Amino acid sequence: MPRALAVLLLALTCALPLLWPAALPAQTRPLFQPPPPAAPPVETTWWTRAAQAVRETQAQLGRDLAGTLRAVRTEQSMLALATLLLLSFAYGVVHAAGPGHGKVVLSSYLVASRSAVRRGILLASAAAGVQAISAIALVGLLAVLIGMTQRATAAAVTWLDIASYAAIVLLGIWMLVGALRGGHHHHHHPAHANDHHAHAHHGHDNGNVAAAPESRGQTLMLVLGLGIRPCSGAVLVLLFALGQGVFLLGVLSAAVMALGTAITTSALAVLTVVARHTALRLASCRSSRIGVLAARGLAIVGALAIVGFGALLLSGAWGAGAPV
Amino acid sequence: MMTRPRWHFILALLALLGGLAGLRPALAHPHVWIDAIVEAWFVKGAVAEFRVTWIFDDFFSAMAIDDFDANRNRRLDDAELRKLATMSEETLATSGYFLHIVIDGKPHAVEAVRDFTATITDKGLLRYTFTVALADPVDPSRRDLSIAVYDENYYVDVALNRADPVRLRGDMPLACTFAVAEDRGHSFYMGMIHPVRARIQCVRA
Repeated sequence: MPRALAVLLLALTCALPLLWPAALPAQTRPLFQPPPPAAPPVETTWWTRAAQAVRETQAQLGRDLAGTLRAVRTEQSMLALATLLLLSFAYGVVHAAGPGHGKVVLSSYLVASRSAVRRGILLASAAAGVQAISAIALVGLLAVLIGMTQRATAAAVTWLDIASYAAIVLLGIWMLVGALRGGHHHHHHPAHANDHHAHAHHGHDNGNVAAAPESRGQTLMLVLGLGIRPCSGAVLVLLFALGQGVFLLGVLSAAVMALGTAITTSALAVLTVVARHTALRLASCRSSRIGVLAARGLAIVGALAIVGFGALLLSGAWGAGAPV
Repeated sequence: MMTRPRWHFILALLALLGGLAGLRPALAHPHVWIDAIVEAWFVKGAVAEFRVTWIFDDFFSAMAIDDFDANRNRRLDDAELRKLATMSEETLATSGYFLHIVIDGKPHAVEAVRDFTATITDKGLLRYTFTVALADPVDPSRRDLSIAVYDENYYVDVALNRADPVRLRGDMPLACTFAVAEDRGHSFYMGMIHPVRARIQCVRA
């Protein structure tokens, strides 16, 4: 296996969490007028089209969701309820497909850690579940029980943001310290790397590079860091439902939304774990020593990314406010 | 313990720096959606003012109605709407009312508006209307005039209405029209969103 390919894949795996933002070439394209005949053909990248589609779909889904919530209240029909659940699910899937904080942190974590595909899915789903619970608890406590205004409740999300980001920074530092010290699982590596060298041609396995248990504290910190901060869409729907006098429908909608979110973020988790595993396997094919170093390098890069990104989010959350 | 090659650290640093630079503007998701319609008003063949209408999304509308309903009658009375308008106008002034007017290639800053009103539509949505006067009216047959509506911080997803972005009104030459295009020179949200810019064009006989 060529060494260059291994290095390339390693670099790609490192870049995976950073893939969301993409610089795009500047062009001008008429929207409602056909381009003049002499103009060169319009080229839009798949990325632009996808981003545009996610954005417009989300705005439209928001409108439909609000309309359906009203309809469920006025018509009280099963059809309207089914539509509400379907729309909530779709909103969760689409909302999570946009660029987001949680996905960057989750994929950085998965690059740095030795997680299997199954664990990646579990982490993504747990985070989505905690997010829904957090949104329901926030609106239930502040707006329903204490009777705060909707805007004040929405503004309180900032405090949960700060708690989330602080947990992310701590997690990153924790992981970084572990990675720089060599980690207590470090001695497992050569054996596994050799193992993979021997089985390299047996095709794909499920990415379970190391069977060593991950730190429970770190897992908890990750899920809390991702989940304490509620999904803005869920908070909006809950507040809207409350205003319409159908808070429980909002709770239902937020729960189904989390299911949709979990599906999208799990897909990203699987992608990250598989990419990491493939890169490490290629690196191990070259020699077990490269495999060990590569795993170590990924652990350090991932932890650094989590610290830096968490700090950035934290600094951004302090100055947050509504400009309208 | 093996020694670590230096390139790991270089790679780590590069990835980190690249990631932070790219992600800096990604901190906000839109939480408010606004549909904007711009009326260009002509006086003697030149655009003298823009009358702007914004219609907010269901969620923000409900939130604003809840927030400013001082007497708790579940609707906004005139006094409550006036208070909402006054407070919003102050906040929006700091972001130039999300208007991006370009005259002959130069941005024209919007510092003040007049007739700022808040009303509720038949569908229960919050609506703002306000007027931006051009101190020096622009004749589109001689000069280049375009307008876009967007929040480059993307806290607010505000854009020209797709079906009905611009209306031309008043005393104008017959051959006036507008063209709407993606403004790729002012992309935001990590280059993923291109605001829609309307260019007003007139031809003199």
